[in-house]
Amino acid sequence: MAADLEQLLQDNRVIWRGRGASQAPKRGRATGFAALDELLPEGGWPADAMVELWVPHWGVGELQLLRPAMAAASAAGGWVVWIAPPYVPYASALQGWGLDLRRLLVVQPPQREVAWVMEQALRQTRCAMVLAWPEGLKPVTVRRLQLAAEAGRSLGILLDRQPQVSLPVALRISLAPHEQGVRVTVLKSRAACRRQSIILDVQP
Amino acid sequence: MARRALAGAPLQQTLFEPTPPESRSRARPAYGALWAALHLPRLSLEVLSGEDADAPRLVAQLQGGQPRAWVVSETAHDAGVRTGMTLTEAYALCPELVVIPRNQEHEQAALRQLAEWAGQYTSMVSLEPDGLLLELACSLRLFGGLDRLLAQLRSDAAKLDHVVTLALAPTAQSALLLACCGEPVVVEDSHALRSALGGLPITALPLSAKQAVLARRLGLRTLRDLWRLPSDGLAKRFGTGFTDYLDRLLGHTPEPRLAYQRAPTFSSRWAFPMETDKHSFIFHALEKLTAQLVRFMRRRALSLTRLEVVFYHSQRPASRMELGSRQACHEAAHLLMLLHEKLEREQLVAPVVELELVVTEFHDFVPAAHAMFADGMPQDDAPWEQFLDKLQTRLGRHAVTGLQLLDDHRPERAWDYGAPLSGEADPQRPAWLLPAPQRLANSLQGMQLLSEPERIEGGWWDGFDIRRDYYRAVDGGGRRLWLYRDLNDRQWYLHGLFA
Repeated sequence: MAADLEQLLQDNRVIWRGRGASQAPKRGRATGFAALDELLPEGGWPADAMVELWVPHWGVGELQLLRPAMAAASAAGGWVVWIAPPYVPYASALQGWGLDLRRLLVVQPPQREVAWVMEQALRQTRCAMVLAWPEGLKPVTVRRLQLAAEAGRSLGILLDRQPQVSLPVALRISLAPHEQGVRVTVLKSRAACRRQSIILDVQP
Repeated sequence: MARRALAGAPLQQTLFEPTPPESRSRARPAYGALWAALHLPRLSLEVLSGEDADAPRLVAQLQGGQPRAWVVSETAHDAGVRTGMTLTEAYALCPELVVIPRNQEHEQAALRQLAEWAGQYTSMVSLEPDGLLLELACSLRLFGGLDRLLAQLRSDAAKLDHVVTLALAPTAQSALLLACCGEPVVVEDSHALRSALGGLPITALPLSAKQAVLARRLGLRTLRDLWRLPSDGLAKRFGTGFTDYLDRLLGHTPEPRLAYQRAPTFSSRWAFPMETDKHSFIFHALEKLTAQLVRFMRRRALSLTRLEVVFYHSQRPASRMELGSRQACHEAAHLLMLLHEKLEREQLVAPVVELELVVTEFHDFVPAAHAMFADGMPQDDAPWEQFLDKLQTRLGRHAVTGLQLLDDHRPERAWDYGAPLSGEADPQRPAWLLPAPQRLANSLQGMQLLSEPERIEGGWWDGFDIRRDYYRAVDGGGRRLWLYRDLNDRQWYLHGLFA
């Protein structure tokens, strides 16, 4: 009986278990940074969910943070989709990161279509990771994206500069530049409510 | 008495007139074929554009490793240039000669047009590299006999833009051979075939160089000399391929030929009871037409990548909507999804009275290949391709791209959107590139250079000449920048961000 209950709690991620984060199943995707994996309650990027990255401005190392996960996804044959990137992705750098360029799709839709494209991409089972640089997403839209991510078993990342409203994402992280790399602060997580920060050494 | 008379009466005579004996002898047997060969000796010249047609011209073709004259225009012929000459010889004879390489694609296109034209005489039209073959025996009754049919064919052929030699024989190869030799003869009877062919030179046959030498050594000049030789000896000396050809030439072995088939096109219309601009009505019509289209494609094992919808309006010219798919597509659901996405974004210029679905180009349907011993889920690319189609239909072709590396060291030229390629990786490059380098107004204020300069220069060969020293830097806000100093104007520029 107790085992059944435990199993049920393990399988159902919707049930919140208070501060017992240590018992939460470690089923996330490895971020590639051991310290960050340790910090994140699911032991990595949450599986099949939406993640929000708060960035003060582009170019503090936000892609470096996602680089190992993208490289792993593309090595496993999944597609990585970038939606509305703010600048031109430099192909030779991405190649140097171990990203398979044949598995990278860059979509530049008008800003009002970003959410639609993202939902379509997340629903694709061939798509492993979706990175989007949206402006002013509504909570209800993000809820829809979360469902799409679960349906397509893919990871959606929203990179945001001026967050206005609290979005219903599985994990919210803020990044700040630091002399030794970048300071990563976990602001919200669906599996635990620890507010912690670490400094990661990410070098371009 | 009456019963016996009735039983004895021959029934056939009361129903059918007996066929007169003379017409029976004229009727040819059902299996006898009659092939008309249309040879176009000057096709390579005729497909060229008509400019300065009087100038001496020559169409060259690679033969035995060097270009030789393939077809020679009349003025060049007058100057002494002959088919088969090398270009040096031809130029020596006629210095103002214009030499044009042979364009076989244009020739084939012209032949296909001619095949369409020839379809009015017979259903069996077969394409040859420089001519057509028409099976006429099946059309004799329709045209009222061979003489009439030939007369019409000759008068129609004279109106064409091509020089045509027409020969008729009971086998395809013999008709072709006669036409190629420029003998406009008509051989109706297969018994007369040997004597009709007998006078032709043996060099007219498709012989290899070795076989031609052998024939000369044996003293064979005309085909008549060949007829006198025993066939087993011929097979020993010339190979069985040659005797096979002779058998087909004389009709001893049958030669099935492929009939020309015109490329299928699809067009279907839908008339609305009254003019409408309601998308739901239009989409309903498109659904019905798409169902027809899919049935059409399924019956012929086709798929498409491009289709067109034409909207007809009452007092205005028709408007069009084009739809493309990345991969050959044959499913109704996918087509309808694309049409729906496109139609949602389409501004109709006016209410629609009638619409038409047109497909002019089809591809062969290639079914998905499944691995025989695959375990687990088959890797099916179809949903992903459909997803890409959907994005491109909604956002436009340019908005959905991959990235590729180009073989160039200059940052602006080292990448491109488009189909992915392999290239050399460069780990010291930033992930973000600015669309165009941005000049730093107040130089390096508040920034800190982090690296030694990296010189990137060159490009005089294509007009995009750069001389730059690249640095990595960090600004006051903690952004890692990729800067360069232009060595030409001594200014600092921001070119990328290490994200």
